[in-house]
Amino acid sequence: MLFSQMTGRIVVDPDTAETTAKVTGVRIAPSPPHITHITALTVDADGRQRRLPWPDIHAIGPDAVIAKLTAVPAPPSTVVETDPVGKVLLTETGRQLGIVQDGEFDEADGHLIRILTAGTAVDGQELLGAGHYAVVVAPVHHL
Amino acid sequence: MDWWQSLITGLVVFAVVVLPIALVTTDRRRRGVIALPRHHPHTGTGVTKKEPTGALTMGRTLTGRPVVTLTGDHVADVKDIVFDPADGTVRCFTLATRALLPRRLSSLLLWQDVNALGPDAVMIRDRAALSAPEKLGEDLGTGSKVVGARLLTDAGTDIGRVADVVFGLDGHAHVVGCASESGHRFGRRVRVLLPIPLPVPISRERVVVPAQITDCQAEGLDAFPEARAKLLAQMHGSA
Repeated sequence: MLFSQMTGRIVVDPDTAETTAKVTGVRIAPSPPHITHITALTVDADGRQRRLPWPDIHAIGPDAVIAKLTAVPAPPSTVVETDPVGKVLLTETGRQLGIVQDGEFDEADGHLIRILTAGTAVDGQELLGAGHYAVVVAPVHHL
Repeated sequence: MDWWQSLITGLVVFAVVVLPIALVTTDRRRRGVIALPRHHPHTGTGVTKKEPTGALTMGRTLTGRPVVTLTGDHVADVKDIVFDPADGTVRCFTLATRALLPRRLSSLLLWQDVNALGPDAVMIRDRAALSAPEKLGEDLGTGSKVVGARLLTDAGTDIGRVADVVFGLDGHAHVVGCASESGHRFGRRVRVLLPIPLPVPISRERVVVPAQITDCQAEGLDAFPEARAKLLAQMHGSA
């Protein structure tokens, strides 16, 4: 599944069957390359950003994400969590490969399969870090 | 009262448009290449990931380049490149924030803490790679800004102004030459690349170079290695 296919999908509470939020993005991390959580905007009047840790997601279906939206504390300040889409894709040698446009992951276990730019697909295994400015990958094996 | 309105409009345009552009332009011009006052023996591990051996780059393409951690965070931009005048090796980068009006940071990036000097970013392991200025062991204020200095041959001829510096990359970055501007031709600045065999005398006002370099000019980086080889052959021949 692509990040872009996930974005905008509704989040449904498995107990109440209520729509609680809409997915706004994903967060990725290396070692091993995976989705740490998805971010979602609550549909109540407050409209707050919430984090859905990957283990708390029951299912990702074609129409909805089934997950219990619990209050997740803000991450420690040392942990950088930003959406990889729109970031510069850099190799660890400082060469820019493009702008991250999308990514592909395994919806069964959150494993990152590929990072996609306009002209390049990079193996998710090459991910070294994803920060505020860039997504950094090891010297590249194009897919 | 029309002149009042014109005056106020003029002041607003100056404050909103002209002043910020002037400040940004001035800051860009302040970025440059600094020669330390004397040679300091150093032992550095250098970059672990590097561009192909023999690559050449201009100083102006290095200044302003983002400094990025391997976790993808942008920590600063390169402001100045500081080199050892004895052998031309780059010792460190001074840093500035990225903003409309960049602010110089007090910390430095020593060469041995650079993970890779890439064409689009200077890569470091993490923020801990930045050092306090004392770690350089030299007061940067005593260094000489090379860009803008006059080029004087050892025969006493002024051959132009240093407009930029040429760096060679081969696991380390080191000064191998400069771009010289010497007047105008058909309304355009005349700029050539000149190889410089360090060490040469460098002061705040000028750089004194061997007179032979005037015979070893290159129009661009592609022709620079040939010009440098010619100069070295001439110097070895005359030695």
